[in-house]
Amino acid sequence: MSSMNRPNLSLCASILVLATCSCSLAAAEDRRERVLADRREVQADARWFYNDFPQAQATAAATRKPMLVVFRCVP
Amino acid sequence: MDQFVCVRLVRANGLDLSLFQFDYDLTFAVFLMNADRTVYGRYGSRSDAAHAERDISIEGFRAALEAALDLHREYPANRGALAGKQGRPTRFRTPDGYPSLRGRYLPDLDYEGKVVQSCLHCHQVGEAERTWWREAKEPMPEPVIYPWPMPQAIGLELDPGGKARVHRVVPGSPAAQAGCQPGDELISLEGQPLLSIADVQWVLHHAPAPATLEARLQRGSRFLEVTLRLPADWRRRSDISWRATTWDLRRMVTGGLRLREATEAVRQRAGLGPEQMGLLVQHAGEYGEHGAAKRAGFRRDDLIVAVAGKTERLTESQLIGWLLQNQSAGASIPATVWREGERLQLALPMQ
Repeated sequence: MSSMNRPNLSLCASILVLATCSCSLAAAEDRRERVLADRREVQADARWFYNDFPQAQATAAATRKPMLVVFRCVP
Repeated sequence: MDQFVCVRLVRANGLDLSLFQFDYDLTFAVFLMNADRTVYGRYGSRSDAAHAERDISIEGFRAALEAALDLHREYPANRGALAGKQGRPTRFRTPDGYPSLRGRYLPDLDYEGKVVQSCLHCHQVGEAERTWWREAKEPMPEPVIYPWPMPQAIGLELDPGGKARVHRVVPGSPAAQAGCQPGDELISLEGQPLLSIADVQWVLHHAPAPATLEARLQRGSRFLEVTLRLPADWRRRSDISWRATTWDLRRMVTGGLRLREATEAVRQRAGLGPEQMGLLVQHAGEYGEHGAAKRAGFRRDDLIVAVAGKTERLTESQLIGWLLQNQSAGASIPATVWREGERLQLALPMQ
């Protein structure tokens, strides 16, 4: 390998690392936003309790309704 | 839906494992229950990674909800029939009791900080249980290796559009021998009223091997009582290859190799008989313990024809189960692979 090639390879490697990092960061940010958006959506819907089983349980006991407990990973 | 109090849970942080016992590989699972914690039924099933519609549907979900409302109206007079549906004793009360998870997660998500990283995923509960067995150097029990068997393991294919309606019966299977027929409605199993395929899985998950299970069927206007006789190896017919948690089992006993049964053409080229092992390396992991097999010389497209002297035809799920029960971490076991017309002897690392 000639010395002329080394800077280019090194530059390519740097770009690749940066691209990988920025993709990962973008993916992580996207996932974070989806989790937060999901929470906003469910909390805005009066029919649902979000991540609060005890409160839902108390409401079910008071209203004598059955409970529908949904486990759902945020996509 | 308005007849229920609805709760959305998105994480397993601080999860009450004595109550919420379900197939932790699922990304959608439902409990239908009373405020006093009595479980009426579960909903949510999966038999492969890509085709959710094979196991769940809006119609099936609606049927489960309606059946739960019926049970709720009859409650508590039906409490006895529901006893078998309740959670069983667990090793730890919450996931962070497991040594592999201890101290790593807060009881709730960190919404102001790194919310994604703060989530303890449901599948991590299953992985922690398996890690506990592996690190205890104990043979992993079959229900831990093959959790929540689908009814296909006993020859029953249920219609996802119903509660537990029989779609197909495999000839010669335990279900066929019991007299089950397509169109039958499975009303109860071991006395437990069934709202869904997941409820059938719950009974199977807790069934011994061998097992005798009593079922009540509705065929047209008639009700029938039948007995399902499950052989000692019934659970090993489960396919666990689609499960997220099987990734960690591959680390333990295949050194990170993902295997699948070779095609007939490949088997013929390798000169394998119909009952001989022929597992093709579909993927060889690269990093850490998932790259152990690759570092030991295994390659993608290798055909594994013998492991530790075992040459009988097995699926990847069956081989993983056998290795987990018979080979301890730290061992290195002989394996024969067929590669480009030659047989090579390699050593498969157990971790």
